[in-house]
Amino acid sequence: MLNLFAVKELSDEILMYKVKLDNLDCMTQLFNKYNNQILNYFFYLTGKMEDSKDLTQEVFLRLIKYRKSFNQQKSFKPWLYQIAKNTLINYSNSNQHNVIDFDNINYQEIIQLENDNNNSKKDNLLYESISKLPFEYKEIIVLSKFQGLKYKQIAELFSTTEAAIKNKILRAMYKLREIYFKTEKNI
Amino acid sequence: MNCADIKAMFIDYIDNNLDNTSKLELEKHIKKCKECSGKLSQIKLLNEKVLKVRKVGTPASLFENFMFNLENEKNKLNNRMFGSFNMSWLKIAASILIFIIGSLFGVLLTKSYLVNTKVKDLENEIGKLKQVVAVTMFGEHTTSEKIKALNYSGENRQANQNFVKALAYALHNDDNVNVRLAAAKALFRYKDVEEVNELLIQSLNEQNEPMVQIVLIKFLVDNKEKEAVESLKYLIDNDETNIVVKQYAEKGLQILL
Repeated sequence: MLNLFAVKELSDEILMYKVKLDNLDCMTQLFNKYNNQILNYFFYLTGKMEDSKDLTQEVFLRLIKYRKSFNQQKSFKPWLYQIAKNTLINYSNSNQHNVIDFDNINYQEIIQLENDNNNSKKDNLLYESISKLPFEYKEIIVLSKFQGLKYKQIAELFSTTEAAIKNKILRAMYKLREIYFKTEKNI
Repeated sequence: MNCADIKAMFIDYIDNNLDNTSKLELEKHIKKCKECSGKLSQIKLLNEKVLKVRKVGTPASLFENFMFNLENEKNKLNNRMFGSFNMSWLKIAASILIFIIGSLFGVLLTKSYLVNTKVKDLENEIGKLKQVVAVTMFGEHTTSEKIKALNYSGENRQANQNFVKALAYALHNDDNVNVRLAAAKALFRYKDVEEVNELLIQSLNEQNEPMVQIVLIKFLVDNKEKEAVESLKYLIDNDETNIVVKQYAEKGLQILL
């Protein structure tokens, strides 16, 4: 019985609130919980593993740096992704010499990784299709489908309504279908 | 329901979020509308594929770097939190140091003061001794030895009664002008003693050598000795007085009056 109480996990909001009160060690738990999601978020939006690692590191540094601005009345996840998105925007702005076309990402690294795991060629087609999606569609598919964020959380992140998010996802899926099946016919 | 309405329900349908009524309506439409049916099945397929997309694993270096960064941030925070505290400790340390240095200076100064007073006592002793020696040397007859004795008396300001008397005697009675001048100069050093000024004024009345008269007038006027006024008037009135001495006496009189 006692163990049950001890093991009970603290919510993200309480952890982040503790960080806000300068208990920086609590950031370790948040890092363990979210570093992989954030890494994948960057990986599917930039297609570059090395950059994604740096960006992930930067996100958790920013969480510490801006901890005082965390509002414990609101959920942690949308705030986390807001910081991740801002970090990505900063990255694209500061990368002047190596301009990234976020609407047409090179997924070579991702496809290579999948091939190493002996996946079928049809999956490569899916990756290639996603890589050609406009950034806003790519982002919303990454958030809702890859990361499993709830529509409510995504709505909070984009400061909009759930209905608007569903509509956007539908348009993204339509665009993906257009690219994916057209390519398949060509083959 | 038209195709646009059905299309708007696709996302909720593939998420299995539709209520029964809406779900039945959508399925009814799909059976009739081939276009909608085709689109829905393609989107459903893509949705399944997208949901199966694998996540890449986190490399170990990511966690290591994070821990390194976290330590840095913690150190920064500690420095900020204890920064002001450290400052106050520094201030306390500095004040203690200043207090110690101050005390040391105090001790050193007291010691050197003691040494100084001892040195002064010793100097006084030597001065007195020199005066005694000088008085004895007056017994010698040669001019140069007398002057030497007067100069030898040094700069001791503490007048010795006998020494002043000896000087006055030399000033009044010595045959040599230079000896009298030296005696006058030696007496000037003891101007703080009242008798000395009286002696000098008395001497001014008795002197007949212009050089000595001028030196005495200059000294008395410089020291604003008002009692010298009568003597000066006497010098001016006396026909035997040297013209230059008269001029000095007149100037001195103007200053004193």
